Amino acid sequence: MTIAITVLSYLLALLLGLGVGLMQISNRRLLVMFGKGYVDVLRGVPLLVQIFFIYFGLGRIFNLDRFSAGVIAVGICYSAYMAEIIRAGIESVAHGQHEAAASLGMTPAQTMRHVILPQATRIIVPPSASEFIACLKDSSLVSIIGLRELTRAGREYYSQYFVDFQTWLLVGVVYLAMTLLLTRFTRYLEKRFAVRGYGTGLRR
Amino acid sequence: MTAQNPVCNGKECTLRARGVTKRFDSLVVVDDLDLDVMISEVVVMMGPSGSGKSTLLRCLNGLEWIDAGQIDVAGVRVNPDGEGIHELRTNVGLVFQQFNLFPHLTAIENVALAPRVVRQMDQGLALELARKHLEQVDLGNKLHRFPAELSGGQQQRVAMARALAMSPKLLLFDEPTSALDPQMIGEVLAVMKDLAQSGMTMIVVSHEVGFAREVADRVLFFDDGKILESGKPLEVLNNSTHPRARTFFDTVL
Repeated sequence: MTIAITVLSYLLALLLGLGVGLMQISNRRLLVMFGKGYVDVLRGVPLLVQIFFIYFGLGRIFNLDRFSAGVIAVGICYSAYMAEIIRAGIESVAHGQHEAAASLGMTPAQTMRHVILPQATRIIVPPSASEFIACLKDSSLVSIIGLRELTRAGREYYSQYFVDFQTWLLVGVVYLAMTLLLTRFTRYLEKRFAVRGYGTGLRR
Repeated sequence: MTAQNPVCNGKECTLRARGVTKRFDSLVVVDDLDLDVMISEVVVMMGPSGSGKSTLLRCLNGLEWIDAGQIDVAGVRVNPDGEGIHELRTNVGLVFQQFNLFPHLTAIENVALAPRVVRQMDQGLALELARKHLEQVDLGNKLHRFPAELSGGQQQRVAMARALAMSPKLLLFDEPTSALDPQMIGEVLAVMKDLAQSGMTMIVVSHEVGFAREVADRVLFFDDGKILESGKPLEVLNNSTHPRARTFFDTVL
């Protein structure tokens, strides 16, 4: 359950984050303002409050079950962080790259797809992976709305058998095992995306 | 579509620019400029830094929108409303001072990208074309190197191949050797000379006097957004009458 919530909410965060990240660098003032407002609001409100708001507030209106509400809350919250990472990644690509592509007759969309995003991806991957790990840990917060994920399972076990130390030790170890595995995977991704002689690729 | 070349003084030509003006806020950078470039002509443009040479090239390539005037190249006309600016970019190549190669792509991929994406050429054909152009700039043995694995001079030659792969009617060079170590300047100028001799129409912003003397059909002196002198290389370089041109050439020669 923890893994399902994490993966689904992270995918949602990635999609929304890409959209909002691109909005922030567009040349339409309204889109930029919306993107910046979205990020400011979502980063400024605790995830726990967002979970309550979406489950008890929007959940009532749209009749959301616990699972969807949990995924949407975590996904939307993380999309704000992802939007910032994606925006920063795109902006870090040198201005000359846009000009070189334009001087060859490429349209802004072609430039984004073939020149800017492939370079930005390499910058975006490491921080995105650590966001995924953070997302996994924060998924424990949805236990508060009664979703039976790892933390909730721990609480239920505890209330049945009253072994507190062992229960939470075990829960902690399971989280740690997952995050350590992911950290390893992140390092692999970083190497995989490195380009010979470019950026971090130089150090290989 | 047959590209109709513009006509300058009754003769078919490559570029016909009339009244081109570019302002940045209130600063006039290119001032009501007329410029004709004949087919296969090589024009070298010199002038103090900050005089607007780069901006003029960027206008001729369509990277900057012009505020007044019109630019005609091979059946494409660009006005201040920006219409045709995209077609202008595909017909006019630009080689940058800082090369601006795509660092995530190998040399051959750098050259093949625009033919594939803009001209919608098949991947295999685009790579074949790219190989041909890299061989033309003497880099047939570096096809699969990334830009960071190449020297400055080699990178600039890849940049030339990249521009050539779009078969431009006019190729612009914005101080192509200014970012290079002295021993690499020669290899880049040699390729430019080959291009000139193969009939490419070129406008080169450069202070390489030797190149201007040897290769240019015409030298322009550009200052304050205007062309102040225009003529045969030796006339302009040695016998400028305009006082500002005189002072400038006295210092560079």
